[in-house]
Amino acid sequence: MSSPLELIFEQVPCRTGHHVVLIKFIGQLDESNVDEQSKRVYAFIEDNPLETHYIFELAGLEYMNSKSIGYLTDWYRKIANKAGQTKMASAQENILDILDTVGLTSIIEHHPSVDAARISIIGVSDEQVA
Amino acid sequence: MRENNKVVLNLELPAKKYPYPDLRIITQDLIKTFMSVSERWVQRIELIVDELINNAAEHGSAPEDYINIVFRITDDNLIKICVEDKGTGEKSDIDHIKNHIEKHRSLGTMDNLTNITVRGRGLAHIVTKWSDSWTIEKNKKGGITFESTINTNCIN
Repeated sequence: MSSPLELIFEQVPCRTGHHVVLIKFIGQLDESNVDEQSKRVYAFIEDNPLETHYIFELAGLEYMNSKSIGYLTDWYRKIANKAGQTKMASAQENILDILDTVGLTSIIEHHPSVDAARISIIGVSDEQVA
Repeated sequence: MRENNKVVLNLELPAKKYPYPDLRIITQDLIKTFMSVSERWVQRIELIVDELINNAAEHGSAPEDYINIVFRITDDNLIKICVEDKGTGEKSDIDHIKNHIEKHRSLGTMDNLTNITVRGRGLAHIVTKWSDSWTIEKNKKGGITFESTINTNCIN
């Protein structure tokens, strides 16, 4: 029996011309599903061009184990190797607790919202660009 | 020293494809029913259980084997989680596990990115950090028993 998890991949509009994409994690990431679901994330990273920046939106993520954190670290490396930045956004308190405990928030910045994560990547808000 | 157990729950789980979400619900219900612990610590204890079981399943058990888990809640508000495998897995070596914990704890201290493997954070960075005390011993079945103790008088 696998735990429920939905992954949603979206483009984030940016007037600056930066290529920013969003991966939404909704549900639970554990031993029952993480190996299978991670393949979709690896494929998405592989398919995107160089200098694509990623925001992992964790608002809907209810549970994650240490193996999931290992995959997050590995995705971060792959993205960095393709000259991209990685940010995390909107994690629930229990998820942020785990990320802090293992030290991941010192590698991948966490922001309170997707918009704040996007601004940290492109440097300015869309209003400033307009 | 005699230990006054308020509750003891003993479960035997299949090493391969054990019911992950169900075990989390059992852990949560047990703690919420018999202890007064913050939601944060309920979720931390759930993850400790998950990591201990995963470790016993992945390293200490053949797929057809069973893992034993015992929850003990004592009168003085300790929760002890004891996970026991039979040593039929590929890496069921107590020194290997101790070295693994030490290695990954030191890597984590230096720089999290030096841990380049997907695995290695569960015991070293979660179980041993969140437990008040922990022991790892060889057991009579030929496997390894890992016990984590959390004193809920000292947490919030």
